[in-house]
Amino acid sequence: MDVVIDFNLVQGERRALRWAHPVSFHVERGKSVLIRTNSTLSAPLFRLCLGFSEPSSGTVNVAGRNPAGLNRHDVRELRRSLGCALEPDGLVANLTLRMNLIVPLVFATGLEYEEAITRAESMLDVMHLTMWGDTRPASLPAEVRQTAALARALCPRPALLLLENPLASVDNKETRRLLSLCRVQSESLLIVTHRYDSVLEEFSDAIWQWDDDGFRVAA
Amino acid sequence: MASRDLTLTGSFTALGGKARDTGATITEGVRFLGSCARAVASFPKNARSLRRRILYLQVRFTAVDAIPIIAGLALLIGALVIAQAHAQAVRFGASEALGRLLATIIVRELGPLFAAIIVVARSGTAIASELATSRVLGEVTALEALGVDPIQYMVLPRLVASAISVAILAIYFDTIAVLGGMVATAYLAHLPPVDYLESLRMGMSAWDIVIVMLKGAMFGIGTAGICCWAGLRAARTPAAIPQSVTRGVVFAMVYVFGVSAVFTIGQSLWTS
Repeated sequence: MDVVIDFNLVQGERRALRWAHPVSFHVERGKSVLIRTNSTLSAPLFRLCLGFSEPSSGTVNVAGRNPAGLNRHDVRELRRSLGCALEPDGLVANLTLRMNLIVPLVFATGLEYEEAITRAESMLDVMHLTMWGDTRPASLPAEVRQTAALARALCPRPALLLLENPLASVDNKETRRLLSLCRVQSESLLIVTHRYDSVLEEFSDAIWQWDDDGFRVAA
Repeated sequence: MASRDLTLTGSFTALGGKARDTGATITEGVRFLGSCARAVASFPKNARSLRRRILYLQVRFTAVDAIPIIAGLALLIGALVIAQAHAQAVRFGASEALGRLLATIIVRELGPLFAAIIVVARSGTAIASELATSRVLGEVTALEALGVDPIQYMVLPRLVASAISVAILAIYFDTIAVLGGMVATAYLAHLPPVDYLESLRMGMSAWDIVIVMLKGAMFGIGTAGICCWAGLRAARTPAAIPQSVTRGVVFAMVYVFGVSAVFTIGQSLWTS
């Protein structure tokens, strides 16, 4: 079994409130895992995955490495192999939508500027965002912002995609289309949602419920 | 007696807290410098054309957009210094030395200093508030999550652009101030422009231009660095934005005057 994310008896971040129950789950390569929880729990979960913090107890492994134990260079390399669309979306306010896609491609993926433009243009096209390319994030409608955040995450063609409450403002038909695209572009997905979402569940191989009663398989 | 002890304890506690905060600030500053050095060493080669684009936009904002305000200020300062100096100079019959006075006071000292102050007031505040806002809105974290080094993307272009801009603006300020001084001497001291320029030439050397540009670059890189540091260390709350701007501007001003003093003392020691 090839595991890309593995949480083993993790009880939260060091120097932060401990979770009521230890969390253990894994994401297998090629699978999509959905976790239903709230933002208080999902934010530390992603911070642990990305190496922004270390677990107070238990172990976290992402792509075979412990993110908190990596040095500055290696943790950046690890993050470059992932795609993230988290909350808040973090689209850079003083850049157009097109440049929001180009900048990470150039600075993190190592593409030449011209190649990055081509890649960004094709991604904007696929995501039906071309008409918004020259718009700054503050002027974008909520659903376009969410799609744009997903486009930025998909642009480097990551093997593993981390999504927090994705496409919550997007209609079901478009959500299905975009999630199909995610499944094609990324091998594995970890999706955390803060609500009941039947469309997200359609695209998930495993669904977990995480609340005050613990971390368990969703009914 | 007890309350006096408490006051003493309170004073020492406050003093200790201040010392600890100062130590932490210095450590953070040194760490930030280290991060900048690392970011320079590992700057991605493929980002050069994008860096040029960012640099162009930064220089346009920091230098080109500041030209009108610098021109107006330089013209006024040049004319005012000459007007004040002329009032004293006529008493000693030294009107011919006005050009030399201008060279000493404005070209060497006030030009770079005023250019830096304008850049701190315009661009320093913009840098600190922009980066603090980015931090508050989660943009910096989002970029880090995507594997982008915020120092490489957000800080380095601003440092380079600011160094170039202040160096250019200092020379520009000096040029306009000299022209303002020339008009003032012609009007007040009835000194022909040729004599004024000759007096100016006697008081200056090519080294002065080099020193002015060097000083400008030092001011620029330092003020941008301090304002970036102040912006990026903002806590993730909206109230942190004005605090970051204030901290950035105050530290940048102290830096500018400190570096100016070091240059002046160094020059004095060198020439003596």
